[in-house]
Amino acid sequence: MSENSSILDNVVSCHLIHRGGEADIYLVSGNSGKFILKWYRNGSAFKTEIVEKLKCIRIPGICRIRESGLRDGNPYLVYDFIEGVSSRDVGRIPVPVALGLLRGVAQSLHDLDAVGVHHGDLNPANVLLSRNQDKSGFPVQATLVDFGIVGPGTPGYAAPERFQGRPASTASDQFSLGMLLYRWITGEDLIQALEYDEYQAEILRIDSISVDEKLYVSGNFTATEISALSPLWKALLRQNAEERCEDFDELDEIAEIALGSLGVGEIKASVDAQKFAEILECQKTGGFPPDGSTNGLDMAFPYEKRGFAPSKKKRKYMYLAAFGLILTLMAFFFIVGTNSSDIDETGNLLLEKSRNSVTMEPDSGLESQDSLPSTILKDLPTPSLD
Amino acid sequence: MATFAFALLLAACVENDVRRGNDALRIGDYDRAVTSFNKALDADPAHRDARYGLALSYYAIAEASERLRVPTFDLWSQAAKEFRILSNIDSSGKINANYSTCLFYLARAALKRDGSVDVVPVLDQSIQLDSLNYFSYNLKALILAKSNVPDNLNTAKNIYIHIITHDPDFVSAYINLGNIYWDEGDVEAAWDTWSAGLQKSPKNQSLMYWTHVAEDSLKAMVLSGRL
Repeated sequence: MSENSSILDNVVSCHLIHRGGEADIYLVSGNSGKFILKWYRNGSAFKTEIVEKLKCIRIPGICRIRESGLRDGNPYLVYDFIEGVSSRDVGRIPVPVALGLLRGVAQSLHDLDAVGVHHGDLNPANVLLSRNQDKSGFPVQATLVDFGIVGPGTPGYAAPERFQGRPASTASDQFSLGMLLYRWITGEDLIQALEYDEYQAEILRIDSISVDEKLYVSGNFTATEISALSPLWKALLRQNAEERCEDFDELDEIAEIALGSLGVGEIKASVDAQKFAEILECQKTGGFPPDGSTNGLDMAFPYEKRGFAPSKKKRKYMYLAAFGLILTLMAFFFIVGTNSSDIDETGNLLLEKSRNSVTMEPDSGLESQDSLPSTILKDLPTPSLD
Repeated sequence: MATFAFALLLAACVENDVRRGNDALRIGDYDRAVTSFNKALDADPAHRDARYGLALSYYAIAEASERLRVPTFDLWSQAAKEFRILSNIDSSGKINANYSTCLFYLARAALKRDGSVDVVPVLDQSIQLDSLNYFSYNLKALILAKSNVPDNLNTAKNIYIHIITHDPDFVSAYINLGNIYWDEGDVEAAWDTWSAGLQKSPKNQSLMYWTHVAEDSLKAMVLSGRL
């Protein structure tokens, strides 16, 4: 996108909604709609090649990147605004619903695989949930955001090989998806740690963690559910990437089997998803604030708008121009507003007074004969009485 | 920008002085009007309204002095000088009537001061500025009639006839035209002229007197058989 047609230059409001370690997230609104601005800080950046690919494709469940680049020396991304709820904020998701979401996300990731793109940072905050407007599809739509991360991803969700500096891959995304599934159904992270190294250590011994046991101990899941989910943990949460699913198609098949194993039936699963969608509809201000929900948020532009927010030098001239304009207006009103009478009008009044007084007032200064000097007055002969 | 702002401020001050001068002039505070207009002209000598205001102020001062019957030549000279400068700034014609009247007054004041001075060129300029200024016509005709040159006398008569034709209410023209006829011995024409003037201004003392005199003369002439 050229500089002249940047979405950011047409933004009229900009609200900071999240301050992260590497970037701040803003909700920006303008004539062309609402968008999410990711404003990188502290030298952070995104993977340009991934972002450029994503700008050219439209995949259901993938948040569209509208614009990217450097602004005032800072990298930035502009996403479509998704009116939904971050999956981080929804608490426990019923297992059938979570499996439905998993299949949707897997499909999106599968489509991304086709163009050689991997997410690299799947975590609850990067999956937005909303009611699916397509009535024929799964009632809840999961949309992935925040692609192109440079680092290993979010601790607690990143695959073991990512800690070793390997790039994001289908397998690493599958691992993250497994951690995500656990979070969705339990409302908790599978690995809980305070330090990065601690996360790394826990992730590296993922094979020794029995997810089934954890679910059983929580007491929130039936044996059927634990049993149905078990193949998924084995297909996703493996330390060795090669031991995970071959691809997302295989994952989808496993998830489909798991859904069937739950024994709730399609109708029951659909009803649960509908109910969850309704809950989301009520909650959807939790992630990114929709219209009117920005009250209390600080209006803050992290960048200078071109043609709107000028540089300091331009601003100085603008102030001077404004001062000049005010001065001009003051002078104008001073001249026009206080000009009580016109000098020509006064001249006409004086003239009228002078000339009219001649014939009406014999003693006035313009009378002719009587006031003429005696040297030019004619002495009229006095007729004889004879 | 600063220069522009300063220029605006200066212009605002000049306009303010002109406004003050105009207000003073309108209420008859002529000295204050002269001060204000002069102040404006110090900042902007070519300011049309300030110059016109100053000319009108001198005009008003001189006219007020006319009523006091004191010598006014210097005052009218001052006013005429300002009008002359103003004519270099303003060629719109808006000032011509006042300038013309000022020149009439100047010519008359000059004659009062020295009856032998030739003011006809001044009156001609006055007439050229305002062809409806019959006071200048009238005074010019009086001067021509006084010269006793036959051609000038005829010219004077034509001027009076011109005045009466174009402005029948200009009473002085009837009196002065009747005077010429009377001086020439044409009592009947004099009576005709004066009585015509008396119809226009029945209370004019001069016309009443001289119409009566002419009537008596005509009666005497009839009685004596000369008419």
